[in-house]
Amino acid sequence: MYCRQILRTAALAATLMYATGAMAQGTLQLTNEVFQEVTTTGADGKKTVKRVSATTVVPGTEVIYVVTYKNVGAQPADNVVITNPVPKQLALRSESTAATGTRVEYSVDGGKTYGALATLRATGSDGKPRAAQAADVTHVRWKLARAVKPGEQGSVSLRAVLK
Amino acid sequence: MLTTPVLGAGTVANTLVTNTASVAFVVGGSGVAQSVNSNPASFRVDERLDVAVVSNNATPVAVLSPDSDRPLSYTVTNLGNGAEAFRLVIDTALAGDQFDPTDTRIYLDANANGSFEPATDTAYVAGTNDPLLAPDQAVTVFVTHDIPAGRVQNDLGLARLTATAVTGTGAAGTVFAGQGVGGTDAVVGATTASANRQGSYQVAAVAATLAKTQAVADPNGGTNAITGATITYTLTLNVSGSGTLTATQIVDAIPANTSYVAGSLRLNGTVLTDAVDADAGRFTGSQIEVMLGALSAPSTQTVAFRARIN
Repeated sequence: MYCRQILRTAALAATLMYATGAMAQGTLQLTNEVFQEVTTTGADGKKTVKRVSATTVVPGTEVIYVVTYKNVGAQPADNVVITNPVPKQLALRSESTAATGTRVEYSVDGGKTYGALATLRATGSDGKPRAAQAADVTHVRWKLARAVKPGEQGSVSLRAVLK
Repeated sequence: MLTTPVLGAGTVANTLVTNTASVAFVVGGSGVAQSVNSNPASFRVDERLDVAVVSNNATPVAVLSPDSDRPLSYTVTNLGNGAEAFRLVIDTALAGDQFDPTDTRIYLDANANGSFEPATDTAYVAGTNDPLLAPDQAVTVFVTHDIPAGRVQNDLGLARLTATAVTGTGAAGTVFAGQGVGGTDAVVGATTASANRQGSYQVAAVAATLAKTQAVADPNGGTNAITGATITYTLTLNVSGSGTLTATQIVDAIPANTSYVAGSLRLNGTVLTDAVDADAGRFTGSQIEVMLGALSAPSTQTVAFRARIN
């Protein structure tokens, strides 16, 4: 019995030390990239759509932000919630698509409250409340359904138009 | 709800748009909550080239034949999202008229008061002082022409002003790489970065011109336009040619931020009462109106009134 107690204590200590190590190096890494879709027509008339890194963007055209998360630690990352504030110069184009099970929520009040777009209210130009539209969105939030395992990666994206 | 007022022109060219995402999670095992930011993802806003021209002469300007230095007025607006200069060109050889206006002179409305003042407004020289307009900014352009002799009543003469973005024009979507504000691309918008409008003259036997001047007197004995200062407006109607103008009326609105000085309305120096009565003048509460009836050329009529700056 005495031996088992020592082993149990040793195991606990090992876990604690490991957790400290993970905090220092970061479990999840987040990368953000912005693209534009470019359509080219081939000699045969067939159209190809390619994603090109956006350096300068013409007002009125669409950009796509792709946020990639990767678990670079040794522990799973749980209750993962990714938040992307929509820059004020952009208007969200449509509801964001994400992997099955991911819950996508929107805020139209600067990130104070979130919900499904259909349930949100915004103030119209006449000062009266109205149903919120994609263009009213200030923040998009994705809640992943499962923990992200060590070494696993995935991404979420949103489309917006430059005003 | 957070909204950003959006200029008609769109986001200002060369604006840096930056986005940083964040992720919150709980590390498995330890239960420690963490939050991590992404790198900032940025791009700059390209310049869009767009322009509009409107003619400020809704009806043909009545002129004599011959006549000289008769102004047409246009407004050129930068509909793009970056500061842009515009080249101005006049074409008088248009189809659909009986004569071509001659001796084209183009002026920029230097004091932005909407009135052509040859002594004050700037003579336009293409390539030297092409008007540089900020996004959504407009400039009034006056173009004077002479009217040739030998034309008869009702003959029409057309002139067209074309404004084009100096950076470039072309089909919508044409890119001028690196030539936008701050080295971004300049891209032609839906207007093709070129716009034009027509103005017209029509020969009348009798013609009228109305000129307006203002003089400011402040309470300190100077000419500063400050609260309490009085502005004296003088409207001079000149009837020329041969014939008679009928049902002639001079109307002038009291400018915003000023108040009409009661009893200040004058016609050729004579006091006109503000009330609606037998004399030619009245003050309606928002404008002065002077009924002149039939005026045979030649005739000069001077209307004056005062307003106090609020």
